[in-house]
Amino acid sequence: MVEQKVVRIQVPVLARVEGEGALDLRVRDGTLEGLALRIFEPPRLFEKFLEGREYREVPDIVARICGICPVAYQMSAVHAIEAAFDVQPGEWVRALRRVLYCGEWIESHALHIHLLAAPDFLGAENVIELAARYPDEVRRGLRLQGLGNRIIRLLGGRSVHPVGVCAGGFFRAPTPSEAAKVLAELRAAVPDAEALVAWTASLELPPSDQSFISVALRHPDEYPMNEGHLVTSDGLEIPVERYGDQFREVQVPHSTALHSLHFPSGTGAEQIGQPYLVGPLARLNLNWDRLPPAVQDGVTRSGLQFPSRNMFHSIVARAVEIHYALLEAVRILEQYRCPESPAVAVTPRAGIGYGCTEAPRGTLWHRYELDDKGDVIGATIVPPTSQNQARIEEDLRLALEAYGLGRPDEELRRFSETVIRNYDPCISCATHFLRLRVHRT
Amino acid sequence: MIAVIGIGSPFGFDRLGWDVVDRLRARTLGAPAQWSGVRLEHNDRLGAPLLAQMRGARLVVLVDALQTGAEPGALSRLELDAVQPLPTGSSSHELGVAETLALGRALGELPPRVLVMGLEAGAQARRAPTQVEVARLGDAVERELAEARLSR
Repeated sequence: MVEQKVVRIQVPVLARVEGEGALDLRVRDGTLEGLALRIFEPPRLFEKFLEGREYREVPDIVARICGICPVAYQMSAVHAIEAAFDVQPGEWVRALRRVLYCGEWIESHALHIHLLAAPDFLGAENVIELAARYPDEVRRGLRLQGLGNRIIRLLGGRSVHPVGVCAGGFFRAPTPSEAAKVLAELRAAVPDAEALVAWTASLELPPSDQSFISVALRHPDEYPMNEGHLVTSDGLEIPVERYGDQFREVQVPHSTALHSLHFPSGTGAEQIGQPYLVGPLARLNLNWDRLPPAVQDGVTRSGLQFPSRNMFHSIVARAVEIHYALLEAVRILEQYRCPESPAVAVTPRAGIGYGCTEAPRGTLWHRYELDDKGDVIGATIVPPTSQNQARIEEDLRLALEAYGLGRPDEELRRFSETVIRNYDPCISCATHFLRLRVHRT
Repeated sequence: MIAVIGIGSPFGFDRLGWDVVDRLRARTLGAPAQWSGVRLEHNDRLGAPLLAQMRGARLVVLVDALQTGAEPGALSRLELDAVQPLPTGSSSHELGVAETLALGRALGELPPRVLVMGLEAGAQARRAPTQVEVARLGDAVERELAEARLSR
């Protein structure tokens, strides 16, 4: 009989990802036999809450799904509702929605880079320890985060769970002087963003060279936020309505969050689904040519190249997107004029609408079936983190094998956390424990 | 400048900080001169937004609902040094009060004096604070402000 040595560690850490999760590793003779990122966050049932609600309530309900990326939920929702009602909100709304999204990217990415990810790469336990050693960098991060929040407030009325968004546009247009004030702050912050790109590119990141499928929106002439087709790094390009033909959410026993997989030849039962990546690195890998030269030059000067197969370049991708979002918001606000009305009229009609936008953490897909009064009959929401979960497990498998499974459990735990945090998973806003169980036989 | 910042949300006992600030705002109407140089503000976001809110004050009183295991309704008055982050960190995307203060200290960005004042929520944190509790904490904060004015 083979003697089984089971090592069980329970460590209340992973305070820097959202949600309740645990990681189980099963190691036999130094090789990885099993790996499961268990999510035991209770289901949140938002899709059911939406049933029977009027379309007007939807943006404010879905904003509550996340305190860090409420704008993303609002954007996917209003685009889906407008598609169902065949409403065209026009250029002013389109441009200002981009500004609002820029605010959320800046706020969310600045938070992740400085408070959550950077401590991993600089040997600090948390941002407080990091701040003692890198005060200027942390201050810069807090400044950028604050600026992102002020952009959201400009259009959303407040920075957390903003209330300014409606189907058809916005409830209120900022005054020219309000817009000018934020514009001045944005211009002043550009050097911070440039320095941030160089700083993240100079971090000593763990080596990683993995083959993975990137998925993101792609637009004919801009870096994607609210519009575009879904594209993959293996050559697929589909309108967002056809997401369900190629991607499917599946239940796994160890997680209350669904896993979303890519089925390149359709979603028939006989097909095997593949993990895929959404988020800043996937977006950048697929849309490098959509960045303005000023942003591309910053990356090139730092010596990095995209597309990248190093998953840890996600932190650089976030910095690059902060730089882009600042310049994009400046470009739009420089031409700011108050419109006659901040929203177009919306007339409900029965139908199905799809919305897919680029949340800070990746592609966020919504589908709504609405009746002729505009009440929700059914809603489906596929958030970025459920799409990334299978990829996180795949990454952990590859990364841990490359790292060496013979290392002490504590080192394995720290490295696993670094790999997971790199995706900025947002399981929900609850308590947060990564319990690592290593079963060695 | 003195800042009294009520920390919380609209829900359950967590609204204590906001309610106390609202009570103090109402009290300013009776004696405006006495309240000059005092900022009375709500906060629902810790971390960077709270650090920004505290900037420029010589004394900040943070008013918050507490859960320490003490008797429900027990009043606490904590000087800065008594507020330490839990070793595991209490939250993820957001920093808690103790983590925010530790971050501010690491960055050298805290006002000269920070006090945390609050009442114990007890296990039943879903209940709203009573008028009596809000008044008791509000009065305690007022006494601190009076003392701070005298010591200026």
